[in-house]
Amino acid sequence: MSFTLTQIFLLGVGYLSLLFACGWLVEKDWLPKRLVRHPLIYILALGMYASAWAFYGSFGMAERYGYGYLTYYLGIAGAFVLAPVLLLPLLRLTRTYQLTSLPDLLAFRYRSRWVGMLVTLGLLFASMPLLALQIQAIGDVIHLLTNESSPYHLAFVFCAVITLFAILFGARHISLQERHESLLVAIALESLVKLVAFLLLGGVALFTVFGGFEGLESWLATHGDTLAASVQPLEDNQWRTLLLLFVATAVSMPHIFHIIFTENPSEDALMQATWMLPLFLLLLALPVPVIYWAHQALQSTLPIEYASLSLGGYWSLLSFIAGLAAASGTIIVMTLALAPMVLNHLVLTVYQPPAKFDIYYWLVWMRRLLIASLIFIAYLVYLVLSVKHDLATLGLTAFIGTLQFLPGILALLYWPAANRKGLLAGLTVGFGIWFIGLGLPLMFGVTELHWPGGVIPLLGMDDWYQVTLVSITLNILIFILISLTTEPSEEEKIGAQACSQDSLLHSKRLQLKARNSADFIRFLSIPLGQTTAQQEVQRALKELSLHEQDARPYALRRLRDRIQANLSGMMGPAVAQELIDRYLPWKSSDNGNDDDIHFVERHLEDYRTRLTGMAKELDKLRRHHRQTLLYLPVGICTLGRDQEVLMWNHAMEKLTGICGEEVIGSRIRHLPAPWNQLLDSFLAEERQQVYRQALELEKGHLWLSLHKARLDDPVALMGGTVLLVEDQSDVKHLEDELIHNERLASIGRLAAGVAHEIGNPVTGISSLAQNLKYDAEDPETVRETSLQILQLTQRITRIVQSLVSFSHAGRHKDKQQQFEAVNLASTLDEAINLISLSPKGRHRFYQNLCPQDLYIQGDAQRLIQVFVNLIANARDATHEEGQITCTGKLQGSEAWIEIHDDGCGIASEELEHLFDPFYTTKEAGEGTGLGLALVYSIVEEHSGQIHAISPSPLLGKGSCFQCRFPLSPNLANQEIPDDHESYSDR
Amino acid sequence: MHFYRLVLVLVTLGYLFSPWFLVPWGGTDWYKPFLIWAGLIAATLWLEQKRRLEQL
Repeated sequence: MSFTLTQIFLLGVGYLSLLFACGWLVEKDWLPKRLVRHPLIYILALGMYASAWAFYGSFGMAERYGYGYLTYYLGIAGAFVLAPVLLLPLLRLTRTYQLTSLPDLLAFRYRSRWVGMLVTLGLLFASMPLLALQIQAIGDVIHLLTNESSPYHLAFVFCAVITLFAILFGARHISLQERHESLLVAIALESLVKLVAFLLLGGVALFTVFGGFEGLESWLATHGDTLAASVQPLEDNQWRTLLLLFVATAVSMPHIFHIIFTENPSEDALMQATWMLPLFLLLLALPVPVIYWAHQALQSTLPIEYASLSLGGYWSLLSFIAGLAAASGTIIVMTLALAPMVLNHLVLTVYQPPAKFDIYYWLVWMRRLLIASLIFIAYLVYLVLSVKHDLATLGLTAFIGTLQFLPGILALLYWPAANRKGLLAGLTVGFGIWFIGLGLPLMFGVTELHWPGGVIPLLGMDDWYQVTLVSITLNILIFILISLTTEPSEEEKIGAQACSQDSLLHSKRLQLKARNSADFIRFLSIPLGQTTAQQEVQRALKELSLHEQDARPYALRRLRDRIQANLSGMMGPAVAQELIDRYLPWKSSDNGNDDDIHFVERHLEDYRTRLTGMAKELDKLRRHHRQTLLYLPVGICTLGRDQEVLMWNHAMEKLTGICGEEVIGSRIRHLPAPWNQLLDSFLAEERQQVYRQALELEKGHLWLSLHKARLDDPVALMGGTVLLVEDQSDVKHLEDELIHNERLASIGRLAAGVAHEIGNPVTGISSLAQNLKYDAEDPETVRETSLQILQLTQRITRIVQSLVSFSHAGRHKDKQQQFEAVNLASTLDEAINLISLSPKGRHRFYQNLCPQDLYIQGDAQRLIQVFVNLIANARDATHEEGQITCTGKLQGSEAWIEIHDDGCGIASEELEHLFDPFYTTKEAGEGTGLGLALVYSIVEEHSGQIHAISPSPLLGKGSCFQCRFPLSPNLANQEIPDDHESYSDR
Repeated sequence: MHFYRLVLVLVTLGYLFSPWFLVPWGGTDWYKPFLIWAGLIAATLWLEQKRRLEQL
């Protein structure tokens, strides 16, 4: 079965070139995206887990522990079954915060570059035996197939070739963060090759060596006892420990972490892997015993680890290709995963390139250099270890090392109280025991350790179970103990909240010093250089679908977070955070305690499907209340204490024409005009509501009622203000119509009186004219008579003018109501005049005691309407010769007008209903019940208040209507000139 | 939501009792551990379908 070195070299390079060609086709978009992004590709790529250990080392494990080799497959299968509670939360974290490796994740959670450095070093040490295992397997296989050259030389050539391909796959381009779809497809192809080759080899072993299932059974029946006696089955606890070891592999081995999290296309793909990957592993594990027994049946002299080569002929070439696929995939992905770790957590923490460098080029060249260095170091480890140890030993050593990270990872998700001091101490002790128990004996042949208490024998791999148990137990105990006895820093608490599955991150709504994206570029240019800063800001803007001009605090916070996440993927979370904190700092704010409600809501939405019991019910309630507010047919806008818009419901969108997406996160003053001015000025006022505020828009005018309430309840989560905006435009138009009709009705009621009032002067004029006919010769009489006629006609003109102006006033005012200075005494006079015209109004004693210098800002026509209605009611309530007194006074910043009568008064139970529409105490047909409702409406328009009091405090009986109007600031402090043009003067 | 609890129960039981399902190495019933494994995969597939339906 000997092949030439050239044949094997060409076969190996040819296979790797095929893989590269496959990746290249993906990069060129020559393969359909639907295929490339299919979940099956991701799941097959996860099969990369089955490294040379699975292909060769499994036979060594089977020889030692029988079915104990299955723990390698069952462990990771178990980790994937646990995906919803273990892998999925980690996937969400790594995606949200662009964390591409385990050190990134732990450094992010524990907010310490020391954690990042220690974890990176630990992973480097723990991964090296596994990398060495791959190199050893390929070197040995080539040597066994060719019988040429030393396996060390062959392994070196393999390392050189694989370095080239690793760089070609993962560090060829400047893009350093995106998923490598080409790599994923190539690794998926490798997994397919492995699976098909292994199943073929199993089939060949079954049918050519044993002649089928029956042959295998009969062979086992005769050799079963010998086989059983040759292995040392694992004890139950050893089995469980190995299972735990391989469960941890899923999240702690760098290459597996990279494929599971960094290359993941979707959550759905991960969930499908929960059963598909175990199925893939089952198919891979199935041929192992068959090939192993075939090796025994053939009495092959080959080392048991290379049992698949014992089938001979071209089947051994197939075994080589499958082994090459396993080893090359592991080395490529592992070095691609380790290189950025070393770069971010070791290199960049001690040296950062100056801004004048093109950082992208610097990073990509550093990554290439690190890939080559890592493979070279792995080769050196192989040279040191491979002489003495088999593949199973190397693999187990690596896996036990990476197990030490499991407590930190689980605490990251489920124990917010854990802190970095505990983690660092636990990891140091765990790795120390691992190094002493396994590292020293394996690498340096140390067999005992002397210390003051005596001598500890070091048995190396024979002690694997004890070393594993002691190291992980002490690691956990110290981690818990120190975490419980020391306080985490504030930063750590934030990290814990971001990662914890049981609590929400309460991100603060702080304001940045940078005011827009241009500022971001300017500030980031200092450490990154102009070009890089611009590219990173543009990229983050594009990813968030934000405009460059978007200056909302919420948008800027998101932009900052995204840039930090992107830089974290490029430089590691520790460096990225330091850089962002330094160059994109927050403003110091008095409102620093405000939580970012949007972030909390996003987090809750992500977490929704995992809520149970009371939490789920509460979430349903939350969503119900939110939906209620969103769909309420009244405009609602909630603001934080810093006046940042937190909610903008659908009615508000419809009313303002401003989309919620655009406005949420803005300050109120940054809203489009005129809404900014309207809401900002309302917020500045002391009043809790404004009734019918006019707003001029391009499309017309709106009449809005505004209400506000402070959310100052100490148990409230956020604080701030809620604004309620009602569109009263339709009501306003209807009311105007109603007022006009009421006015016409009043005129109708006055008509008889008017006729009488006009009839008297007309009779007078007629008499004077008759007299004039006879006294025309006396000039003095003529002059006197004409003067009397003139006075009488003026009286008629005044009556007619009053009626005309009263009937035309105030209907459908399209423009914003322009209030002007109104003399209250004059308006009262005018109202009394009008009422006096009616027949019922003549036999009353009217008294206007309102001071002549009492002015308010208002609409004179409407105020006359108010007083007409009130005096008419007073008139109706009094008997003939009854007294109606109008008084006025300044009371603080208000003008009070009171209309007293000595009539029958109002029952106390009627007082509260007086201003309700259609409520009347008059006989049927005498009153509509709208008069006082309109009075109330007009007084509110003037920002005033009206109260009914019975009996009248002035007259001691009857009733009193008290109107309180606010004095405008100008009028309150300034004298109104006597010649000021008011309604009554016109 | 029962999905996550079922998964945890399944994995815990599997972790604790899996050594009991092993047969002697080299026995004629060597395929039994694989059959049990296949059964667990089927259970996982069923749970995954259940989860999908629950999340719809």
